[in-house]
Amino acid sequence: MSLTAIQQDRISTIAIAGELTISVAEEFKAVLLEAFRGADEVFLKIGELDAMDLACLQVLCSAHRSAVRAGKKMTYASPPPVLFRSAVADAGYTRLNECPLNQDNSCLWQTMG
Amino acid sequence: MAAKDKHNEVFLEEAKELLAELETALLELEETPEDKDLIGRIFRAMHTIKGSGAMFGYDLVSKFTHEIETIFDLVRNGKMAVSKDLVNLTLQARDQIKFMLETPEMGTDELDKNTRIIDQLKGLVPAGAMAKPATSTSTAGSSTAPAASSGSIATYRIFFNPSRDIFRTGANPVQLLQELHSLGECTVVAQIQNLPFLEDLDPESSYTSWDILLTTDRGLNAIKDIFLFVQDDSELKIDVVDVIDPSQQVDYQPYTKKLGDILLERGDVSPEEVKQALSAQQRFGQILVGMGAVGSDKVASALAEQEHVRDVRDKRQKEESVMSVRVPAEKLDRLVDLVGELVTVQARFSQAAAEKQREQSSYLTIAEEIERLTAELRDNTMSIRMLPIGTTFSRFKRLVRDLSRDLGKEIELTTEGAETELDKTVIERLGDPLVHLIRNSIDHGIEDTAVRKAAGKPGQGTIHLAAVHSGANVLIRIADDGAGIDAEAVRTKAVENGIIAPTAELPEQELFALIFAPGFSTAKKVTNVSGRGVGMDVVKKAIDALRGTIDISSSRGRGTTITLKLPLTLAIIDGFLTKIDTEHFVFPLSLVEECIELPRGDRETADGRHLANVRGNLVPYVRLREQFMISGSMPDIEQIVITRVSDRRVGFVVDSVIGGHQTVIKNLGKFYHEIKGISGATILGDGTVALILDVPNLVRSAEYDAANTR
Repeated sequence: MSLTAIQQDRISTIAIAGELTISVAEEFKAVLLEAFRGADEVFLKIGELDAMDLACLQVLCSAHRSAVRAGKKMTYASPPPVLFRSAVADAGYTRLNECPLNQDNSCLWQTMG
Repeated sequence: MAAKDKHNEVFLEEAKELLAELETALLELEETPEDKDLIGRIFRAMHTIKGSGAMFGYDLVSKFTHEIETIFDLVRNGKMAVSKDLVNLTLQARDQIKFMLETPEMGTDELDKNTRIIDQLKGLVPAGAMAKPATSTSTAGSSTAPAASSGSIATYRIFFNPSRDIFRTGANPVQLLQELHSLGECTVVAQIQNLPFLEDLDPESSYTSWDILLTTDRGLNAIKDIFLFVQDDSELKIDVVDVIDPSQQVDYQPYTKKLGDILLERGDVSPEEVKQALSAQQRFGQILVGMGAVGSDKVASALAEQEHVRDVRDKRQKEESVMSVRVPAEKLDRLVDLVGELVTVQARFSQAAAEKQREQSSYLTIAEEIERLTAELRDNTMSIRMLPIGTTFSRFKRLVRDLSRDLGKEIELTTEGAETELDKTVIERLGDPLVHLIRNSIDHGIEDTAVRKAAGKPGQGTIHLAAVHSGANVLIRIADDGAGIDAEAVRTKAVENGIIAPTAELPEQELFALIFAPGFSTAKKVTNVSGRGVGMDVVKKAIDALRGTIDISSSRGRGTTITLKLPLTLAIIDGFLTKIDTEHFVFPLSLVEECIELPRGDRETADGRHLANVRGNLVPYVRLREQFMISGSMPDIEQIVITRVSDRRVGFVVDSVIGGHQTVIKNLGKFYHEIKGISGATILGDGTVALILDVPNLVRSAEYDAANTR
């Protein structure tokens, strides 16, 4: 997995590519926590993925919920790739349209484009 | 009471179809014992007979079928192999079911027979295999959800909450969801209410649970199998929410389960909360969420269920309506009647238009338009009545199988053109004559295995049944590779029975035709199959009644081919309209070959011999004026309509020829049923009635008269 985070003017951009699975979930969580620490907004730049599993989906979902609770934003920098979308669909996350923390319609799974 | 009778009738009709399906599938299974689809078809047919039988009070049928079904469940589950004995006994069981449906009051003999069949079937079950189905049956019976048997399509509501450390066991819950997708239409809604915020999240734990809606015909066990390795540590709940039995011809009720019902059923809200919510005028889901009675995720999941089931039902209904339309025959008959009348009106209109042509030419254009429309409507309507003849063919597989076994012969039935379509009535009335012909081939045609081998033929005989379209007719050929007809034996027998004179010289073709004479049989021994001298004349009569013809060709030692030529439909024919004095007569156009003139001079020199010279060939003719005793003066030039019946040309003398005519056939009614030489009537454009000639019958009676006056 390649995971890079840049922070500038309270905006973080996280670029992810490669394998987004349980083996990197812990690291992924740490990067996201760090990204939010000094920023109000986090952009996700998801590049070509080799794999994506439920563990990392949960990390992303949880990160978004935490951001909403803290009044921060988490959005895609560019439309995510097909493999990402199908992983979301396979896990039944696309139907999470009634998430209680989705009051600003910013749900990651509803805004994949 | 009347409604009950009607339902009962529908059940019996469906049971008949299912039994036919059962028989076909069993016979096919004998050929391909490994075919899982066939086993499934057999199981489904029995299952539906059992279920509907119980519903309509045929308890004996239901109980008996249940026993057979239990045995077939073993076959379906691979616990028992398909054998010839199994097929034989199941065919016998099928016959018993048929008998029980036809004879609700059963005697003890028949009941004993039922027990015997079941015992024999149970005898085929391998040791130890029987315990399993008994358990599975009782489990199914005690289920509180609507019963979803195998074969029926059910929608399941699955709640799956894997253990928190499922990832650590190496299992991938999403992969299980993908496997569910392979079973059928699947809607997956993830539930994340247990997902902690990021700082508290253990990324290697699973926090997601799922509400899944799955529509499948694979049964509960197939679903359970997917969760087999995770079920011990997971929360798994499977309920049936909707069942569609594909073998039932149901008018689908629209899916109307309300959101509140679904939430109630799932135990997510109480009836009081639903009641309270209903009193407010907001969207129901929003109200419940607003009340805090249920989380919005639960509502989303329930909505997904509503949508899923509705979609599946809609889709299924659409598929069904594309596949087939079930129309009561009565309604179709009425439709055909209406079209018939429309054709008549059109003819009148055309006639009126022709008369007014000079003043109003547009009249004619309209008439042409109506004519085109009527023709299209006629063809369309007729096509509704058309059925593939294959349904009749499959019936004969059983006949050949059973009869050849009884007679100790080896015979294979091959078929061709099962998709050829014929009018429903023709198909129904064709069954018995075909049975006679095939029985005849089995009994008299195909030789014993030893005889065949001695003659250098393969031991197994073949009967080939083929149907093919030929213009406005369908040709059905029954060809065997048996001994062929012994022309000399036919001749001797015909002389013995006084059918022909000892000195008569008949070509082979005409000799063969004699086997259709009443009381004719060349069989040296009488078997229970055929040879009693009844049958072939009945076949002839039945085919005549269908306005068809029979041809025989046979080659000694090589086999016999009988060809039936049948009209596509019995309702409308292309006719050939003629006139004698003021009376109109219609010839079926398919039998008419040509018309020649018969001038007064020729008539007088013929010296009462009724023979016309057609390009050097003598063609006998019948004077219809005499036949129907019509008085009045004859025109100077009469017309001879020359027809061909069974390869013989016979002329019919009429006053004048009018031409082609779309003829809607009307029955003459009971009073005129016995009149020879007339097969029906039609109404002409001006409202007068024209009689339709039964040409083969007229030919026969003319021959009879000629023989008697000789």
